[in-house]
Amino acid sequence: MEKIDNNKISSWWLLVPTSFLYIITFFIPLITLLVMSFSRFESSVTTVGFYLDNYEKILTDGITLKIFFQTVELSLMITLFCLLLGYPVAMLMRRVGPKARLWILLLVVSPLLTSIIVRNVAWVLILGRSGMINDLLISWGLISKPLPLMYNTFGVVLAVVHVYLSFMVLPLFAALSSINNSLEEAAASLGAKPLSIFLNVTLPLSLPGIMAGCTLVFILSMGVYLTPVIMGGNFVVTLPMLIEDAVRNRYNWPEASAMALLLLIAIGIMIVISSSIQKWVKS
Amino acid sequence: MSNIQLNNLTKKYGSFNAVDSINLSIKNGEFVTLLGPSGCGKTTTLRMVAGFIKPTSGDLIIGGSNMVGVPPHNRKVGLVFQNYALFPHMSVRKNVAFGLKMQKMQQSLIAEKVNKILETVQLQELSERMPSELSGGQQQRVALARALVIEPEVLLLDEPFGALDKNLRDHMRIELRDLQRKLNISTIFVTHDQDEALSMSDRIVVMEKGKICQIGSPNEIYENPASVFVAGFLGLSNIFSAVCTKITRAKKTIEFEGLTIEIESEKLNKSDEISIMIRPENIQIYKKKNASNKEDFLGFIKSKIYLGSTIQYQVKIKDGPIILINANNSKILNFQDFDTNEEVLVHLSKNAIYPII
Repeated sequence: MEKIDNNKISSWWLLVPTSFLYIITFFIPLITLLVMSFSRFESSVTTVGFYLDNYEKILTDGITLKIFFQTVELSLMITLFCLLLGYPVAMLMRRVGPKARLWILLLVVSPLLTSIIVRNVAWVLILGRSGMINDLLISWGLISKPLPLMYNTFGVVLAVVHVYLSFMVLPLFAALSSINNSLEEAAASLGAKPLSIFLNVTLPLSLPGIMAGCTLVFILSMGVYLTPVIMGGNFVVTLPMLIEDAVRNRYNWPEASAMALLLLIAIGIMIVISSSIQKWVKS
Repeated sequence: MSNIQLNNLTKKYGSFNAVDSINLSIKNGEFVTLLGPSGCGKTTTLRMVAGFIKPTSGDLIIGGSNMVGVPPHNRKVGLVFQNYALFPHMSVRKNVAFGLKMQKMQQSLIAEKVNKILETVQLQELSERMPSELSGGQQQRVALARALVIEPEVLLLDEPFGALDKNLRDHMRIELRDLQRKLNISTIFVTHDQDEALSMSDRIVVMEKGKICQIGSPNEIYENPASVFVAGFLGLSNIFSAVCTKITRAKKTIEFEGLTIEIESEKLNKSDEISIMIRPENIQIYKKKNASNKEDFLGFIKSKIYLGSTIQYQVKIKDGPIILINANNSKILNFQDFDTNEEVLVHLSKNAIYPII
């Protein structure tokens, strides 16, 4: 027994390289962020201390909080669409053979294989005022003036869903493929119609996958920056855009830090919610 | 009246006949076992009865109506899977109530029926447990209760004992058979385990390559196998090719592997080439003495395996075949053990030799 215990302790050394990376790229910046968010920024001078100025401003200026909630709303929307589009895809992947599964998988992750700039420029070419879709619809005489397909929430959601779909499909597929087919067959033999089987067996058993996918997509969406900038023009503003503005145009690191922490808290709350939903369902 | 009928039931996958024109009728309350090696079509047959596989052709009649094309949820079929397939997110009670809930039965009636069946399978105390908190045997009883509570017209069992250890398996066998008799429910049981088939069935259907080889009671199948395959699949056997060389009234002389023996068989004609089966438990061996009887042969012990209640010997008969013998290791019958390479006398009684014609 002693020997095993020794092995256990020495195994922790395996974490050293990663911890080193995490300390430098994660914990130190996080602490800096925390310290910075309580600092005071006055006439281009940052004073370290314990001031609540930045938080006061964020919570009372009326615009930051509004944009924060817009960001949450946008992220929830993206998450929902990813779930609605991703679930049938994951279901299909579970049913088809291994070869077809690989092709679907490749298709789903393909957006991740292209550069974010290329992808967004492609969207402009497709969805823009004189993009492919509008051109076609006008030349067919279906519409007389271009549809507003981008520089609005629709365009942003579409472009973000396109990329983040894979982060939804993969956990969903993992959860669905761990459900034994005989469970659904057992339900059928007990008189359950296909919809009842889905609602009573498949859906509840895939809940861990749903929660994992939703949490992942939500977290990623809260931090999305470049896509809303390109696809939303100035019409869709998210919190990351405000942070960028504070840092780059106003050199106001303390305020940017406070906003970043707000984002972090929102994500933390989401994780707590999703894990408590899972616990609640389990009991 | 037959409760279940399979008429020329066939399932083809491309040019491969998974199930090839099977005919079988199962009486009300009968326990019928589909027995065969993997790939013989027994599970495909079961899944066709359950409705998960659509037959290529043929009819499946349950309780007087043709079920071909009827989806599984509209058949009154209770199914127990090898892995039990209990819903892991539901308690024992909810698992059992599932089928009744799907029928939109009244809550009070559901509770009543669930309590009754849980009592039958002795699980009332565990009704609020989750499946993961149960032992293998308990899980299986839940699966059985869940299948039986909907009062199906037929109970289908797909190798339900596969995941249990030996003692529990023997116990569950008896329990399941008692319950099946008590409820008088027609049952199709799929297994590749000959002991299960022999010990539980009213009738056994031996299958090979999608076809039925033989249908009969366990006794018939074991003692009068219709083919070499059936003889080899059920129990241990010595099987030899033989030829009939002489006929004197009812007595027929056969030759196999250099041995000549007289047997009694009505069907045998001169020059017939047949197979003969000799069960290892029907051969006796003695300490060496002079061979006086025509049915006694000299030989020596080639190897032996100690199996507890029996001892299994391989005996090489002089100028003859190697033969498998099971000797009853009984203190009462004064059994004497033999050593490897010891010379012995093998007694092949004519009653022990079964010609497969």
